[in-house]
This record gives sequence, structure tokens and C-alpha cells, in this order.
Amino acid sequence: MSLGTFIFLATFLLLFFTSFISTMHNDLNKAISNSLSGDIQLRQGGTTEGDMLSLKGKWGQMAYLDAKTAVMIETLLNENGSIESYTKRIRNDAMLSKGSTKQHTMVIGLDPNLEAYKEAFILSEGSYLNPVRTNEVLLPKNYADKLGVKVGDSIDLMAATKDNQEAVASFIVAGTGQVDRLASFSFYPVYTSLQGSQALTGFQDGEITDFIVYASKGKSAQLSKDLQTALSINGLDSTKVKVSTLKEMGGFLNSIISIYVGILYAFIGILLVIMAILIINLIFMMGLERRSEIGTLRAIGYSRDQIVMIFLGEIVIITTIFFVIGLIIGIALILLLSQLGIPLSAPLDLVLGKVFNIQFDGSQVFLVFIIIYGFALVSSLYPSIKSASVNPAETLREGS
Amino acid sequence: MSTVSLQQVFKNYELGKTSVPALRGIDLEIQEGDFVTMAGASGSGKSTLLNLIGCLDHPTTGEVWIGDTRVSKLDDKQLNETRLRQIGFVFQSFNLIPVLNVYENVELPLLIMKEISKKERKQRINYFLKAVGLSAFADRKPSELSGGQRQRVAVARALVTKPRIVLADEPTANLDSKTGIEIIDLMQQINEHEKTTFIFSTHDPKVMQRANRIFHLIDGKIEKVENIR
Repeated sequence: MSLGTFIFLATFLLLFFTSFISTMHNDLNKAISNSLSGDIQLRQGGTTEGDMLSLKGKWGQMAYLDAKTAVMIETLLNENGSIESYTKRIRNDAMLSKGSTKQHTMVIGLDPNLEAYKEAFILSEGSYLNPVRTNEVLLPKNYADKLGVKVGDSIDLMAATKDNQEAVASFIVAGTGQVDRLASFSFYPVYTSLQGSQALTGFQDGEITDFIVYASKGKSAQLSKDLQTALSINGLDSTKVKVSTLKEMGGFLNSIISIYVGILYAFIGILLVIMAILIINLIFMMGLERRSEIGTLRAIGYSRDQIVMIFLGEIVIITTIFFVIGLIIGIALILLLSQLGIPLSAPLDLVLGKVFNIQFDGSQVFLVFIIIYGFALVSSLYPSIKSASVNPAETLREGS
Repeated sequence: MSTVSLQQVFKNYELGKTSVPALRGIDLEIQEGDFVTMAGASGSGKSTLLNLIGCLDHPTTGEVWIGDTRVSKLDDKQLNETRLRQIGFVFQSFNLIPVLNVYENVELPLLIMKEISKKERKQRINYFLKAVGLSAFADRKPSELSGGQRQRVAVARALVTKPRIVLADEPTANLDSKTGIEIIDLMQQINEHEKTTFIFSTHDPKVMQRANRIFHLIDGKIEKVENIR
């Protein structure tokens, strides 16, 4: 395989993999944001980041925003132009119960009109929550199967209220499905309306656990800062209201995503190591093939460094030509696949979704450029120096 | 002052634990404008001697002088400079770069002589291509030339830096006898016209007779110096 072919393949594969990783990362973040965390959460001060992302909803002590604070926050949210949408939520740890079968879960009560949760929760049967009916739930399909319930059936939810009293409420199953891309995280939330959740927490009107906010694209960090400033001015500092972005919340979901991304980057790392070994080998071979030529150049006065520069110059030219070809073909293929979508089956669909629409991310081109040129030049430096260090008298003797 | 001077030069090649003597106490003086040959059978030390004069190799003992420069005391960088500015090489196998055309092959050493302008570079290349009779072949690749033409390109490349000395190691060995004589005649014309010192090696009696002086080498020693003219 020639150096050019390898640069082409490495460019193509790197572009493809980095776009793949970037798309997967963005899709998973979007799934978490839509289904659970929003771009920004506002909740009672003193709670930890982990509490708010905990999938099992383990609340050591029920932390919530009182009605007056919630009204103040909502006023501020309505005044901010960088917010696309928001919802009040009531989350609680609960037990699904049908006959003698029980299932522990996290119940998320929210505004049924919110579009984000509909994007995240992929329906298998039934429909999304009806804003008029307050006693509906959306059940993960595996829970519905385990409990033996179907759309239209009733099911009991049991929970401990904020006063540590036992609460039981009956709900109608509006739909079943699963959260897109998050099944591999064992993320199985139950969605209901705010009013439905009130019954399980004993909250009075206006009391909520948190707000989740969806920011305009790329404005989440700035919006978080602006909200903190605005809250502080209104007497709600971080001891009273905690503001966190999805990135700040971290939690094990982000850790797991990092693991997935890490595995893929490790794969890229292996590819790059192979690339470096092949480049070193190819340059050594080029040096051997051109031993006589190098000897001639040394004889007529070229220094070792000048010959190294000639080698590196040739490598830059070859790299540039095949990098551009790899880039053009790579981008074309990614754009084509992003239109067509790649249908996936288990287990890949658990992380990547049923249809994976790889997205071309222009910022990846710079990363691929740095990696390809960096590796090509670094790995060719040693063999170039070695090849250029020939004894001219010796090579000329071999050639005569 | 001599253009080239060697004083008690010995050169041994180390092959494992064995030391093989290639040159055994060479003393010689070559004057400016000389046209001399190193004659001898294969293995007599001709190429080793040319490599030492050409600053491509170091003597085991003894001194090599190019003009007033004591070559054995030069570092790598200075040796490169000496080869570039004072010495031109013509090789037995021509040693042209196959991917470059005739013009570019001749241009090679000038590319690293920063003081030479593009205009002067062009003038020099055209002048020496004309001198070797290859003006019409400037765009050809070496593979499109005959052996004699290739060696003419090598002669032009050796001369284009206007060196003090041109070293030619068996320049006719890969050519037929007629072409070989033509190349030697060309070198002689340039020697007379440009006053460049030519030192070449050969074992061909017809070729060696073209030289002004012949140094006969046998087993690494100069056995005889023959003055022809």
C-alpha cells in the first residue's frame, strides 16, 4: 500500500469516526436533555448535581421549590429571550403496582404540552399524555410487559410524600414505549402530568421539585450565568436556588457516554498507531529505494537536514493531495448517509437509535487535519533522518 | 599552491574484525588546470582515492588538502560546503534523478546555493547545457536519453557550480568506447576552456592516454606517475 493510499484511508476513516462519535455524543446528550435534565435545571439550593440526574430518583430528603419561589423563577424565565421552552416538574421515587407485581421507578410529572419529552420517549403503543387528563401515565414498554398492563389499563403508583406519608394513586396507561437511545443505561422513567405527580408527593399547588429549561442553540452556558445573576438580584442566591447546565450535572450518564466515546477514540488511537507504523515503514522503504539518489545528493553538497526537508516536503505534498481526496469522499459519504440514515438493530439501536443519521460536523475537519498532518510528519521524521544520514561514499560504492 | 595535495594518506576499511587496507601511503600533488587520471585495475584504490579527494570519506591517517583547506579537519557542514562549492562529481552510473528532467538535474546543486539568483541560475544551466551539446534536450527525462547523453548531463551538473575540481569516477565504464572517448574529449575541452581541474579514474588504456598525467595505482600505492604532455 502506498503512502498516498494510506493517508487517503486514514483521512476518510478518521473523518467518518469523528463524525460518528460527534453525532452519537450529541444524540445521547439530546436524549438525556429531552427526557430528563433539560439544558438547564433550577432546583432547591443545597441539592447535589448527582441527586438531580439520579435515574432512580433517590431523594434522601424531599427537596423542592416553594410556590412563591417557583413564581419568582417563572417570571424570570418568561422575561428571558434565550429560552426556547421550559417546564415545571415534580419528580418522585415511586413503586408501580399491578396485583402482586411491583416495579420501582422514577415518576416525572411535567407539562404534557412539552415537546422535548415527546422527542425523547418513542411510543410503541398508545399516545402521549393528554393535557386535559391528569391521571395518565406513559410506561416503559418493559415495565408494562412485566406488570402485564396495556394501553388503557389502570395501574397503581405508590410513593412517600414530602411529609413521609404513604400515598397511593391510580393512573391510566396512555402509552408505552422507551426513551430513545437510553435503554442501554437502564433508563426507564414514567411520565405523568404535574397534577398526577402532586398526588404522589403531597405537594400543594405551585410547589415543584424543579424547572427544566431548553436554551437556544449554543446559549446554555451563558443562559445559566444570566439566570444565576438574575436570581441573585432577586434574592435567590445559590443557597436557595441551584442552577446547573447539563454539562455541570455530569452524573454517571455523562460518564457512560464518556466511556462509549473513549472506546471509539481508543479505536481511532489504534488506527493512528497502525498509521504511524506504516508511515515509518514506508519512509524507510522509500529511503532504501532512494539510497543511491540520497547518496548523489549528499555527494553534490546537500546536507542531511536539506535531504530531510526534501523528504518531508514530499510527504506534505502527498499528504495534502490524499488528505483532500479523503476529505471530499468522506464528506460526500457522510452527507449521503445523513440523508439516508443507517437502520440499526439490537444491541446498537439501544445507544444509537433505530435509525442512525450521522451528521457532518465541520469542526471535525480541523481535528482530522491536525491528526493526519501531525502523525504523517512526526512519524516520518525519524525514518527521514535515518535515510538521509547515509554515508555518500558507501552508497556510491554500492551503485557503481 | 597545489589544488589537491595528499600527504602519506592511508585508508583502511574495517570488515568485522579484519582491517582491509585500500590506500597505503599516498603522496600526490595536482595543480590548477590539470587533467589527470588515476589508472589501475579494479580494487587498486582509485575510487577510494577519489572519495577522499572529494571529501566523501576520511583518511585513516594522513592529510588531504584542497587548496589551502585541510579537509581532514573539517566538520560535516564544512565538508558539505566544500563539496558544493569546490568539487563537481561525475559518476560511473551517471546518478541522475530519474523523475527530474535534464534542466532540473543540472539545476540541483544550484538550488542550495542561495547567493545565486534565479536569473543567473538559468544563465548558467543554459550555458553548460550548450557546452555539453544538450540544449535541445532540456525537457527530456534521463530515461529518454542515451548513455552518452546522460553522462553529458552529469558533466553539466558537475560544472554548473563552477567548481575548482571535477572528479569523475570511471566516467566511461558504462559507455561504449566511442562514446567514452567523446565524453573524455568533452571534459578535456572544458578543462582547456574553463581551466577547471579534472581528475578521473579509468582502467581503459585508450581513455587514460587523453590525460596530461597518469597516476598508476597498484594495491593502494602509486607505483608510477606518467607525464603525457
